Amino acid sequence: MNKTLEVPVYIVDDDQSVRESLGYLLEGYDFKVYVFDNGDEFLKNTSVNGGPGCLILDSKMPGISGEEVHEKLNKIGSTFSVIFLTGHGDIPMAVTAFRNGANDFFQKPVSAAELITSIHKAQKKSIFLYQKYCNESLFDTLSEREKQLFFMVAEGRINKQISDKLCISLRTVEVHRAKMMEKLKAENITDLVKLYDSLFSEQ
Amino acid sequence: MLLRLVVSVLLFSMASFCQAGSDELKVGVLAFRGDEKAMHRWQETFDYLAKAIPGSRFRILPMSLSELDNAVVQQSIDFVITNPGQYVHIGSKYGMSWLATLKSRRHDEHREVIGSALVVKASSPYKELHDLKAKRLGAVDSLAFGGFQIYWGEMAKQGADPARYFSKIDFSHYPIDALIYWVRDTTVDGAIVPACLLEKMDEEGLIHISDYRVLELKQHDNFKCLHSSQLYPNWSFAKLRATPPLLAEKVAKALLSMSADSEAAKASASLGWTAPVSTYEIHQLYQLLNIHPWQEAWWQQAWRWVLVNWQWGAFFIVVIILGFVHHLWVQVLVKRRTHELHQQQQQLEHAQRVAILGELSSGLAHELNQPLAAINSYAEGGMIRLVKNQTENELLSLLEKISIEARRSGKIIQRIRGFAKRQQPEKQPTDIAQLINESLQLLQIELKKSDTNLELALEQEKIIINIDPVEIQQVLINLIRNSIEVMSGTAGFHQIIVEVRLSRNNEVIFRIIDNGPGISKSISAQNFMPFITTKKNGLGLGLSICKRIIEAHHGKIWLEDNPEGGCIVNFSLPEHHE
Repeated sequence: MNKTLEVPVYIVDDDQSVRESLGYLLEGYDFKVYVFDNGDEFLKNTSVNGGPGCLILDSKMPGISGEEVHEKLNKIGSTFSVIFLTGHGDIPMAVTAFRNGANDFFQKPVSAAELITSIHKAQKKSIFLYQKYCNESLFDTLSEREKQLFFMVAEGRINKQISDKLCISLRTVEVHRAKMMEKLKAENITDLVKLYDSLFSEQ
Repeated sequence: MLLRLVVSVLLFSMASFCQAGSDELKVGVLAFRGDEKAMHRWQETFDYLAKAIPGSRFRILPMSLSELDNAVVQQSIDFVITNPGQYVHIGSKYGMSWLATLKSRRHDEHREVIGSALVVKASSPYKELHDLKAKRLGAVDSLAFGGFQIYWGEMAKQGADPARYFSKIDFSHYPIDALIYWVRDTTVDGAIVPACLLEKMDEEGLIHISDYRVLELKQHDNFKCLHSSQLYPNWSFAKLRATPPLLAEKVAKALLSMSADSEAAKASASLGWTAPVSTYEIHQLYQLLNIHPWQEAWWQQAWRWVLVNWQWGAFFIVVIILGFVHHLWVQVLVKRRTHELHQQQQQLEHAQRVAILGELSSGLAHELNQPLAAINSYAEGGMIRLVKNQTENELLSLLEKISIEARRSGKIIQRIRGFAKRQQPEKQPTDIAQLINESLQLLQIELKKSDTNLELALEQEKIIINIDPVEIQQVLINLIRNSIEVMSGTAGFHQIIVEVRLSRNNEVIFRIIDNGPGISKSISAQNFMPFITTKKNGLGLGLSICKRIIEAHHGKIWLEDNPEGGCIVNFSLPEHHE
């Protein structure tokens, strides 16, 4: 999963020759490419937070527009990153796109080099987002007591300090701590700190 | 007719027998009741004259009105006995002069004894002239005096014109007895006959006078016959211009001295002859009827006026010529202006087409970008494969794809150029479906942007008509863009239906149906006027240009409310060819 090329690239464009030629280009760069001729089709057939993904979106399309697809992804909390590739873009459209968290905004035609660079970045970001999403899921499995323990351990407190603060026995702290580490699949304290960073230091 | 021939042959042979002495004098007499009656009436008179003037011989030639006219014109006779009407009609032009007027025996020397009677059958319902309106009328001849012209005068005094008053006028010509029989047989509803004809025929036992009635009866002292008109002088004896005066003098003397008891006077139903009477009333009658022989045609009068007042004449001719020259000049100016206006209109049309393209340009640029983007992607995709040595088997299909995309962009440019190109209107057989599709291609992005669904409903697959394709495309684009723009102000589903069907008289009817807000009432009457618009940025030229183009194609354009909400713009183009 760390290899960015493994991250699939989705192309949504109503113009057949545009999407096919783009697919052809990206396959040339060994991307895994999936094409769709409209937004609904894409949303129906793709698990948008089942893994990392890079979406290349046209903005004006019959039916659901590119902007609307982007909004829906945000609402679902998708881990996909979005690149706009539009025929008639303007500054307001670009601003809106970036505000909504788009990775990039291109006007057709775009050079392969630029697009490839942007796709790589987007894939990395999506991998990160997906990782964070997975971590959040793990974190959510913790009980209230374990969460309290998690923050204290991440802040570098030792078990004694924790037992004093929470007014529980040292033994109980050890049991909770072992359970928490197991739930979070953390082998040692370093893993736990990394997890903490990915979840909270970004914001 | 046969009788007349026999008589003239007989007379001719007699004349050639007696060729010896002085020349035979020819007398034309009006034979209004037939040749035999005419011969019988006048023979005694000329026997008397031959006796009174030693060495003279007379030959009586019974004639019809036109025969007598001809004889006078050709001067082939010496004397004439006729009614005063004919005397004025022909005599005044050819220098005839009265010698004596007949004294009527029937009316006790009354000199004015010629009139007309309007005769109908006694059993008929007609009581007055008015009852005969739009009925069939009989008369003697359009030139007959007592048998038409006198009563015509009576009607003219009342402001009526016989030619229009009656449904039909039949002329019997001579002999005039026929008219009475026509009335009897109801071949005609009424007849104009000379006064006293009824009485004479009754006396001769030919008819019973009680079977007939005379309408519009008039009373004159001493005049014994039923009549419907004013009375005019009796028949007269006249000489022609070439007849020697001395001879005329002798004839006049003899006539005036004829005794009332003489056989000659009795035979001619007269009391002899008297000095010629005035023809004043007859001149008056002919003037009233506008048929006076001296009456000149209007152009003769005008010419005479010009000759007398030549300065004024010259002035008017100059004015007329100047007027004509001015007229020609105005014509030239009108033609030139019309041409200029026509050119300006074409320029305006062209300008509007360019303006449309300007407004569509961002959409068109996008459309052009698509194939360019595709070409770029294919090319770069190909390049990366070349770098990786993966392309050998794909190169051909790749280049083919690039070529297809290049042609696609070429077509778009062609379409734009075709629409913007400056050209004179030129009609050519055009496939309607293809024309509409071309127009929709230019509008594709507009439709997409405004989220408008456009449906095409063609009644027939292939409709080909003779039109200027660019102009009609301009109309279609204008109308569809109007609908798009109008609907963009409203929420909900935007739908345009372009419908084409054939009318019963083979017109092609186009309907552009939208579901927008419909036609604003205040504007609807002025929709096709230039500079009337509801759009913020519009010039108001679109619809007025459409109207002009459609009318130049002999079609019509009109607006309707869509019963389901929205507006329907219709236009028709004539002549559909299979």
